[in-house]
Amino acid sequence: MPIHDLSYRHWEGKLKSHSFRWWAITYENLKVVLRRKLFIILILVPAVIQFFVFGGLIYGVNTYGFFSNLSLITPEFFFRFCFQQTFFILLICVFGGSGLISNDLKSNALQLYLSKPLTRLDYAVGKIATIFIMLECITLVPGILLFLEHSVLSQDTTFIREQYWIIGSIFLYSLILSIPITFLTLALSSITKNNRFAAIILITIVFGTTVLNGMLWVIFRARWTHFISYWNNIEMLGRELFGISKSSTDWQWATPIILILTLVCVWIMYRKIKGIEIVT
Amino acid sequence: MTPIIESTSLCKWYSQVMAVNDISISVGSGVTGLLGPNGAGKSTLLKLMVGLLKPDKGEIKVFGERVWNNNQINQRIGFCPDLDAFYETMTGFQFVISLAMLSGYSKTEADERTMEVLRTVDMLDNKDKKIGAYSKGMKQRVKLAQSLIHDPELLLLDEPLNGMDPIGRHNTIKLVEQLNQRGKTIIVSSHILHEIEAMTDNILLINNGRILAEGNVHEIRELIDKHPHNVYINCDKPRLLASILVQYDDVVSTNLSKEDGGLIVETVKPDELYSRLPGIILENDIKVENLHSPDDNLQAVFKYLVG
Amino acid sequence: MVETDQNRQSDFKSTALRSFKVIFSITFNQTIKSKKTIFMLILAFLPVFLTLYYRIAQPEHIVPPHLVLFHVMIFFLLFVSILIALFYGNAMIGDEVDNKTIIYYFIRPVQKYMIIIGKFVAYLAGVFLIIIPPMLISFLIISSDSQMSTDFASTVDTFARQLGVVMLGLTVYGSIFMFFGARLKHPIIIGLLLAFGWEKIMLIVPGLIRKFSVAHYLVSAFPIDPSMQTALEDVSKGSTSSPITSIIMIAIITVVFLGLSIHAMYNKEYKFE
Repeated sequence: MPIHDLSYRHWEGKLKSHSFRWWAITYENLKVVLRRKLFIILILVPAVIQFFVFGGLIYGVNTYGFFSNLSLITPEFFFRFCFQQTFFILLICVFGGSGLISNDLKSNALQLYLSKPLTRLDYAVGKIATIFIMLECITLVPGILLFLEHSVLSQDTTFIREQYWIIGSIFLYSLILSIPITFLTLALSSITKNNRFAAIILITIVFGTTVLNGMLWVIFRARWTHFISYWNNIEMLGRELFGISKSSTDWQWATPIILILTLVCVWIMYRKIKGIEIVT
Repeated sequence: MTPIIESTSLCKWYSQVMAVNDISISVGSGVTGLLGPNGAGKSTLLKLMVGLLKPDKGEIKVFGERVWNNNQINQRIGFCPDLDAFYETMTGFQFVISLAMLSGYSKTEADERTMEVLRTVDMLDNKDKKIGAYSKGMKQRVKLAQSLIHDPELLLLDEPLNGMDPIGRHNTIKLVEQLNQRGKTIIVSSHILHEIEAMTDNILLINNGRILAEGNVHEIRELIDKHPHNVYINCDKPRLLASILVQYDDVVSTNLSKEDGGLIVETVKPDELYSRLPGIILENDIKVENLHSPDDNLQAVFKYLVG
Repeated sequence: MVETDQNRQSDFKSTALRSFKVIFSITFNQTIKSKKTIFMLILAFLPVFLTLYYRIAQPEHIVPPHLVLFHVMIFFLLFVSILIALFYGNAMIGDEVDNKTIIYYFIRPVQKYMIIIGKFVAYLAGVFLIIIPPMLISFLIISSDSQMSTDFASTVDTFARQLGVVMLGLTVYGSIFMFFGARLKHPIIIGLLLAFGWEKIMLIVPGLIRKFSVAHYLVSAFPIDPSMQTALEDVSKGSTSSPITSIIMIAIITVVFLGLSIHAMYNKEYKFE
């Protein structure tokens, strides 16, 4: 007909499957976080610099003779790299993660999200993926790159043949570094509308338990004091994964502690992510 | 007469966005409606008037004094912000009395004034509830109360009717009238035309940070030459009347209304039409039931100037 | 004429005093009644539970009580007080800006410097209330141990001075974080980097650069039993300044940052987007 229908038209194309609806939340959140110059300068750049330092060491070992005698590139080398990223992991969670849910609670955006064809799970996965992607970018990705760098720069295939399992350790350890703290950050973000408060509690739990561990060790000289520190537990698991554990039983205690912490955080998130809060 | 508020080449920008663009205005006593669409610069202009923002260029004076970092002048100014900002754990009473005491009243005086002002805004029954439990309309009334508590000479109200129910709106409009009668100078901002129309004929029309028009609605309308006035005449012989009127040069067009058959005359000189109309009606024995100008109002001014 | 000037001065003083009282009252109530204070109290009382456990569950002490007391007090000085100051100091202005309630101070006939002073004093009152009881209780639990070999009177004297230094720490850090809250867009992250980055690093580096940290002066002013000198060196390596110099420097830093906060308040536009 000559005059076309100018009224509202329904979308007749294909809709993306439900499985990927969380990606819209993740994408937008990542855009917001990565737009902040302070985040890039203070957190991402130093994390990347650390990667270049380690990468430089690998290059030096493979290129210059006096380095290679030091037997630097061991499983501990890769463990050290991953574990030294923990400072930046904390900063990313504080800066980029503490406000993810609390800001939505403050602006009542949660109701908006859940009024769309999004489930609570989609929302949660979207938020989890935001932090998880950022953390994996400074742990898994550079860790794998370092492994590959040493593999290709080595004079022979000894490293690959004998230490191939390190890549699996890097992968698993990056998950251990990222997942518990992601859930912890989001759980804390979901219990308050003030992202500043969420950040402080996160610092207190993560950093404060380490300080407390130091004090308790001095006072009680007991092995159990080491399990109070969040980072100590993470370190114990990492050492076990990279085969450099100081004690064969440490990881057996560290694993349930981290697991219980993660499950508690998941439960908190489940309770708190709701469309409507009944105010009495 | 000394203007209450005077600005000269006032500019304010946020990064690359020009929120207020070279505004030179003079506001006297009475009620002035600050009208414009969303994002026009109304709130920014009000914040400049009250000293919350510093002009990037030009100047603004209230009661002849600069307002930025001039806290003493706040004794004479009452500001009702558009932001929803409260100490949610305080009750309405506690909130208003604290601000009364900050305005310089003793505890006893503040207590009396708070009760009185809460009665004025009809919040006495809910004064002891926490603000966090208030509805949007109640919060709006508490905001209004805090702007009135120190009996200021100048009131700046940024979208005061937002979130209020019809009774609340009616009462607030009445309150504005009463305050005007008591000699207060009031500037009310809104993007809702009939709200402003109900309070005043005196407007400041703003869009994209620029003042488009200033003054009486009807006077402004008269000046908008490129949009002829529409005059609606409901009579028993509309076609006859149309054939007579169309002979005059100032009548641009005539149309018959589809709804009721009334005659809509477009003219560039409405006053001349009004003066000749009685003679035409009498000569031709036309019975006129209704005569009015549908666009001699704020909506027309807004539509023609803002687009 | 003199009378009119005197009346004006007394009017000004009474208005200023009234503003101060109201600002203090609003801020103090917001601080104390806030649910977040419960968390801070739990944190502050952690050492109390620790000392109770030490006294009750471990009668055969591995570590002598005066060493435990030292570490508990250092924990209060270098961790608890900094965290409390970071949270509440930032919140004084930062929270008001975030919640947009600062607008109500600006549209009142209140001098902007009075906002800073009123809030700062309220902050001090609040944080002292949070930290003094757990410090006192921890001290009493440990010092009443029969294995405490030193003279009780001198222990009390040392504790009182240690408490004073912790309060000084809250004061100086509060002023710094208040400035961050008033001036910066991301006060928490900068505060974190300062409190747990710069300050901690300065405790372990040698040389003059140590004098560019608050922690150096706090540790220098922190009175300890001479037998605890080795333990102190584990916490803070490198030289210390004299206690008098340290206290003067802490006072100067506090005044400077309060001044900067006032300057920020007068010059910064708070745009409520």
